[in-house]
Amino acid sequence: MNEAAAGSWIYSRLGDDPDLGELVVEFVAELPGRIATLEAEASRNNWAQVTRFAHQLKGAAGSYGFDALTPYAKNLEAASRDDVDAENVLRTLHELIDICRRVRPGVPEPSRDSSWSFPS
Amino acid sequence: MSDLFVAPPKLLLVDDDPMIIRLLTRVIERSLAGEVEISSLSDPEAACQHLEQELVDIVVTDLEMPGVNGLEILACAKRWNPCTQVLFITGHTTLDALTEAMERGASDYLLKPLDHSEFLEIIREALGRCRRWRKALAWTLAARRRDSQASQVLSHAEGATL
Repeated sequence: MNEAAAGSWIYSRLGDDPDLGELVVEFVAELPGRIATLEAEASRNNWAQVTRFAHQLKGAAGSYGFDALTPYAKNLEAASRDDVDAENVLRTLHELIDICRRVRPGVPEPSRDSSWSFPS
Repeated sequence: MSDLFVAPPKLLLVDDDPMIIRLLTRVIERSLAGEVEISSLSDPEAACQHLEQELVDIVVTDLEMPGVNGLEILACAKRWNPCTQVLFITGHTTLDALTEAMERGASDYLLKPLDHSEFLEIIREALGRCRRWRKALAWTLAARRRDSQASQVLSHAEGATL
């Protein structure tokens, strides 16, 4: 499936901010590293660290204008915090990974449809 | 007048996530350039040491951090300078944590994800309080100096007439 065509990329509402846009690019560039850390800690059943990094991502994602990520990071934080069910943690982790894969820096490029107008 | 009263207030950002520090530094710098001197630390233990060595007017700190948490940063800041204002930014809160922070002297509390306008608003409020306190302190010190000079003149005059 062509995700871009389906309009499923996720952009920050700060992507076109003249001062903060470059920080959004850095945040997106660091996201795979954050996810790799979460996966590594989860593979070691190190739930306290999973909670910590999920908590960080929850706070950072929304602050960088990626509000869509916040509930997924929050779910992972909650799942790994108390009475841990490993299967549930891994499920919420994969849901977070899936949505993080859709994150892009910058702003959406105008689609072909956006230039369409009513015929006169 | 002492540098204490003319230099921009000092603000320390403490968060174990360097990306949050980068973002908040930029948000403050672009709106309050020249009004505040910013430093930052992602190691909360180092932040406590910094507060023991430097006079800081405003501390903006995360609440939940590994090792030293935000409440300990607050205690550390208040121990060295009761006038230091501590503002919490946190992604996690309970009524108990909020109450405890306020009871221990936190000046404000903001939840993550951060609304940049709200964040700047609490920084501006803290800067306003800082300026008022500095003015009051400068006035008090000047009054004390005047009293001291007056008593010196008086005792000198008394000595001359004896």
